[in-house]
Amino acid sequence: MTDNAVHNVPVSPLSEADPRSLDEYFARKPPYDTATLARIKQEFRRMREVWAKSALEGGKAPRAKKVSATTREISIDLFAAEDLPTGKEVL
Amino acid sequence: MWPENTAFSAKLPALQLYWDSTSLGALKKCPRYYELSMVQGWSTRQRSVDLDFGIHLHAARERYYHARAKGESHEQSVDAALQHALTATWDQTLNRPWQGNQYKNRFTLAQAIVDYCDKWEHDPLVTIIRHNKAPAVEVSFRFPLGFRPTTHDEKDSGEENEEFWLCGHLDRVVEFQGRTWISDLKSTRSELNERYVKQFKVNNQFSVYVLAGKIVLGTKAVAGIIVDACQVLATQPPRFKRVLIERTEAQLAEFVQGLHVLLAQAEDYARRSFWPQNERACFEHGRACEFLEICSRSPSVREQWLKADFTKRIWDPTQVRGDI
Repeated sequence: MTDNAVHNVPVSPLSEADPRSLDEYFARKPPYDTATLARIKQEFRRMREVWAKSALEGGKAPRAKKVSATTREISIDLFAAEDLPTGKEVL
Repeated sequence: MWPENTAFSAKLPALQLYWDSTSLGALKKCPRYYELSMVQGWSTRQRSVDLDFGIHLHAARERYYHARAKGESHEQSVDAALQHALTATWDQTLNRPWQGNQYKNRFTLAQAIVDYCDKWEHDPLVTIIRHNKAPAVEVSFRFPLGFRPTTHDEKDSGEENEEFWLCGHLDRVVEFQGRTWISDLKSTRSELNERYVKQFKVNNQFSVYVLAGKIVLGTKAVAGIIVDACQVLATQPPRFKRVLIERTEAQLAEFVQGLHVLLAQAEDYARRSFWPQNERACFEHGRACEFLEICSRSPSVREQWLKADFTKRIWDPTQVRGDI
């Protein structure tokens, strides 16, 4: 039994073309080739989309931005992609 | 006592001269806890999953920013971070992955790395590039605090002269809205709510970082800490929150004044070879201190129990990081 099975993390086949689950990829000994890393990333991104969609359908409102004198708490939504300063990323 | 630990005084061996936020935090929590964990170097046989997870997550993020600084794409940089974490979490001896626990394990680590890097692919925080063209990530610092142990002979000079130093590592130094900030990554199982954020308002580690930033980076514009908090969940993708914590000059001056008093106390404890218990710290956040079972026993048998249940390891704040 691998990590993911132990911890009940939902896994699914990565694609119809590749029926192996993420679980199987994680059970392999590293290093991983670029294709394997790409599949791992792909599955995490898919899971993120599923959860985001689920949250939207659940009607959850975004958190309010709060400001205090010494601590400014910024909602993660503050830096939405469209608000990003372009060309400032020096990296 | 660890003679090979260069963080301690050669004249008063139980007196630490090179301090970091971890050792300061330990002393502030409980002098006896500090004595057992830092002076004597006892730690639990199994390293904390939270600590392991944090170390792997930091190292992966460091790889990501180094790759970006070299001009690699976001995808290539995520690959570098992921590859590093997945390799570091593979037990070569047992030929199996690191287990972790229900929340923090190899799977959720990889997921946190991918989601975090994706989340901040177009980060408004700009990593400062150092003179050597390397990104200012995991920047080690060390500077004298400007005072020394009171018991040391005033005639001491040159190599014999011992003084107190502050050491540590800054996760990432960034520019944001024209000011310099220290970016720090935190992973937690806690919800990223108001209560979670409050812990950073008065925080030993962050005061050390801002003070270090102002002194080591040689800039007056270090405004504070930007915390990238990552909530790790068992069956959902992680959640993120970014929080800005500022420190004023007056707050930092107060913090340094506190260090004067605290380190004088440490010197007094070291001279007496007695580190009193702070019983109020035996339970924090509903969790028992790792040394509770030791401290609850009679002093004469504690050493035996320590040898049976703990192992020794050196905590040396003078060790430098950032050499990828």
